[in-house]
Amino acid sequence: MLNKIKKNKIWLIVILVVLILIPIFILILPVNKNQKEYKIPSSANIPTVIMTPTIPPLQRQQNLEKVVPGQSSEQEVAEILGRQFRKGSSQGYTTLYYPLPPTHRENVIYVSNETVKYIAEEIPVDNALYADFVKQSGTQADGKLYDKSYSNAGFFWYVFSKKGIAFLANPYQGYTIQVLRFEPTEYANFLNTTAKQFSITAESAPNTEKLH
Amino acid sequence: MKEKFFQKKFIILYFIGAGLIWMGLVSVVYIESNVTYHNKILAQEGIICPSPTSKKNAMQLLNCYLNTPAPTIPVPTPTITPVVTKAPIPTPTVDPCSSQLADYAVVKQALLTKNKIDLQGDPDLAWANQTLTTMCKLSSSPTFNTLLTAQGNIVIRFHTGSCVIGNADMNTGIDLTGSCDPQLNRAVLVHELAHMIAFRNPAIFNSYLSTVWPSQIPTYNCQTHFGSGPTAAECFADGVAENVVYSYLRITSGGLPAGNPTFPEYPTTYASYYNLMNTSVFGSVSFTSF
Repeated sequence: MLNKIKKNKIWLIVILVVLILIPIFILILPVNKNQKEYKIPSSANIPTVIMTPTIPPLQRQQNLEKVVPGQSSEQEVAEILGRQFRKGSSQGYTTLYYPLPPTHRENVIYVSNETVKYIAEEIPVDNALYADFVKQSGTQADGKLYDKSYSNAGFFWYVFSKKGIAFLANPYQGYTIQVLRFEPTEYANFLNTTAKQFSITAESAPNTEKLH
Repeated sequence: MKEKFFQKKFIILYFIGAGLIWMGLVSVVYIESNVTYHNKILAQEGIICPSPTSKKNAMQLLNCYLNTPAPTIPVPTPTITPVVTKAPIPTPTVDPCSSQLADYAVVKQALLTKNKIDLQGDPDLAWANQTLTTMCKLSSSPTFNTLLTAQGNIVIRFHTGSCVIGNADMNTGIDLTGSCDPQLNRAVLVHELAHMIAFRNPAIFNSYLSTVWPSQIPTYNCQTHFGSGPTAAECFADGVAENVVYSYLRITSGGLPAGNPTFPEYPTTYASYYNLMNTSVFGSVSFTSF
């Protein structure tokens, strides 16, 4: 065979050239780095991803903090929060109910004379808002008030009247289920106005159940 | 010259040379394609080699890989098999959950050790045993136990009186006044314990607000709480109680709310209540008999 190659020198040259060029071509050809996969050890467990229908996560309403009691108009509320609300009335106020899907809960904007007076925000997510506020503001609540619907579940209103905010919260963990925003005022004025508007009382309602 | 070029020894050298070039270039490609994998392994050991930006850097990368110390393979700690000694045979004792106890002090101690219930006051023995029976059954739900007692013991104070009145306070515990038939006693006890669960686990109550409320159930404390009802807190507590007693009792007072005395439709007609309480409060443990 060697003699044949010797005789056919062209073939010898061709073989040599091919042997040299093949690896060069391999190096020159563009390499898609994405195809350079890690070698996965054979013992690795590759998790199986199971696609399941997703339920919309619970979340707070976005941009609600841009609505300012005593300043924002009803028109501005619609511009900030959108027009997906239902309108109603409550004790002389125009009320704008913004739903919080997938829950049945709604944030409520109370409007009087075209100006926002109160914002009642539901908090469907786990949190420590009341505790966080106390820590960040360095202040303590003006008082602890009662709500007949929630105090028998361990939630009370903690009011910061001069900051225009109150938290319906569990006192041990600061877990908040509702935040009420209003125009900053003195605590006594809050008790005479806002507290009465929302049936928030200084005395606890009787919580005795009986069967007979 | 040409003839010299094609002499036998030179032909063999040509093939050997080509073969060496071939092997060298293939090795570089092979190593480079695996360097990224090895970089990942090295990175896990805290050793980082730069990624190759071109084929020219492949040799530099090879040097980095070759010059870095080999990753240390952790030596598994040998497990020490404990020496098992035969435990002494315990003296048989009466399981407080298996039968009625004849001594109030024993019942009180059993409630404290098994259920973290601190029973106070002076109840009659029958009522105390009823309470123990209920707590023994509820203890079959680890979820319920954890939710109830995560923050310590629960004080239950018994007061003499007529048919049962209950009250729950997040600071002082539960007050029960009077005694009715065992089924009503059980319903009121679980209702008050549900308040304690809400006090101690605000996230569960918030979940109730998001997934169930303002839906109501036709029970007394839910619909007619002091005449002004319903309230979320009372409907939650009645819902927890009905999850335990629905097969034989619908919680009413003076026949109100009107309807059947039992509540077999509770799991289906009021599925939002049943499902939340069954999963979040009782950890899928069902109570169909006592």
